[in-house]
Amino acid sequence: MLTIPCPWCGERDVHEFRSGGEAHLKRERRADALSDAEWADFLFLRANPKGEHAERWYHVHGCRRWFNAVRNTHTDTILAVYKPGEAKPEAAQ
Amino acid sequence: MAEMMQDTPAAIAALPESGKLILRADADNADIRAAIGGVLTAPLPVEPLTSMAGDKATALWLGPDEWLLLCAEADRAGLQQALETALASQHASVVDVSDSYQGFSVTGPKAADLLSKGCAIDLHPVAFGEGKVVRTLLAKADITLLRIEAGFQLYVLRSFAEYTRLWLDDAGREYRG
Repeated sequence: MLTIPCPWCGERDVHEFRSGGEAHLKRERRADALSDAEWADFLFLRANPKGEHAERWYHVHGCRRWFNAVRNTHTDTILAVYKPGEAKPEAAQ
Repeated sequence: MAEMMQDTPAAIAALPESGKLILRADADNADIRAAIGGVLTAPLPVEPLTSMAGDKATALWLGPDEWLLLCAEADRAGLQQALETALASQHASVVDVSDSYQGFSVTGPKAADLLSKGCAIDLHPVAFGEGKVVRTLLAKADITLLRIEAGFQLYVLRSFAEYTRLWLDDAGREYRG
């Protein structure tokens, strides 16, 4: 069974969570000042690495909190989890 | 009667109507914690997955800024009023959700075995002692699960009540006394 350690609730079944995609995306304050290409990049283009990837996860069937996780997309191993606002920890491999 | 209850390995019962309030507040704020603690006559459980029983209500931790308060049906309006008064100057909310949720009790020596058929949480008393509370899934239905002395209490959204009852009865067929 694949499990994810929620920063509040501890290790839980993956079915309690929803994936929220890539973490740490920053929306420009003046989106109207961006070129179409830059805006499209923000909206649609995502990193798709084979390996370590910082992602947002939502514990929808638990404490209903968003948090961040570093996951190896190749092995599906969760390397670290951290609360919103906290800095991404150095790879805990 | 007491003997009959003990002979039933796992007894399922719908809980009578009771008061349920959702409290949202910043637990890092000492003033807010003190105000709530004063009304509940027990400290607010800020440790994840814990609960705290006071004179009027039991507070269940649901999230870092969210609690479910269980109280008697007759007390629900009074408790909400008292909390709203105590938190009047604070950024907090108290919402009466009594009619949104249906409670069930699953009691007896096989209660954990029954629930484990549809729940991925470790329900062994060592890992899930009295007073521990989790929000999780039971057979795909969202539940708030609380360990009590005799077994478990669980709360589901009312629209899931019939489904949950049918599932519990089916899962409990082999444990009927």
